[in-house]
Amino acid sequence: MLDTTFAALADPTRRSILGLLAERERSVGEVVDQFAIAQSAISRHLSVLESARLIARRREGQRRICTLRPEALSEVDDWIQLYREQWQQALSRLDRTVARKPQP
Amino acid sequence: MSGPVAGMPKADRQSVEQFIDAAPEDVFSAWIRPDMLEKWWGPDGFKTRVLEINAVEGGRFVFEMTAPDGSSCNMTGRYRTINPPGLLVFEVIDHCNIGLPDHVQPQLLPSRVTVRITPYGTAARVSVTHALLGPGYEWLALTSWTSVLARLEASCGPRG
Repeated sequence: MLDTTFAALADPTRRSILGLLAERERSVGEVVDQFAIAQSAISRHLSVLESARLIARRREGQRRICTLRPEALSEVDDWIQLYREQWQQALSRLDRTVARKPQP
Repeated sequence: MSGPVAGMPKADRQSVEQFIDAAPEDVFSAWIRPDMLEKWWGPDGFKTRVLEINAVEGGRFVFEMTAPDGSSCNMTGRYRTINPPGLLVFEVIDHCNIGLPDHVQPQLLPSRVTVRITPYGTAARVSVTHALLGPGYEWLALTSWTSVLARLEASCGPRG
């Protein structure tokens, strides 16, 4: 749900993490190195992002790799696109409702 | 709410524009007068009936929306700024979530619609911006996810 997505995005650190993962996938260690806060705090942020389906984590040997997931972002794009279309339809009818009649 | 960050793309994906051959005052009226609003409001195929409209700042509106299949629901909201003929801002509290395509999630968060009407010669330019009020939405809308998604697709696509 978009509500979960937005709740996860409410935190600036989590948005920064997404920005990092938008560049490329990174290990948890690499993400932690980018912030001056405790690893446990970053882990909590990663869990929130994972619960919101904004990222996925997988194991590669000793490392856990974090990847951005596009699906949740696509939901936002779907919403934006739907409302764009609906407003375009409505404004075309608004035009027909109030526009001056063509000159004879 | 803070404005766009320098260097970031503008949130123009959310805005829709229409040039209308009418005076801005007439266009503005069509947003708040029930007899006019019922003629154009809503997506294609929907019928709108104004059940309640109190077009003052803080005033409520309730529109009954009927989909082409006959199902209906109420869209409710509250006016935030009424500054004719140039600016109208209202919040949608209950979205009418019927008739959505399968891939679109029902919208449970409130949203804000900003309508700007500016003179354009003898006509009017109408710009509508519709944004969700959930935390993080502005950031998402401002971020160029199109390029991110394109890169992801490229990196996840079929390998050699």
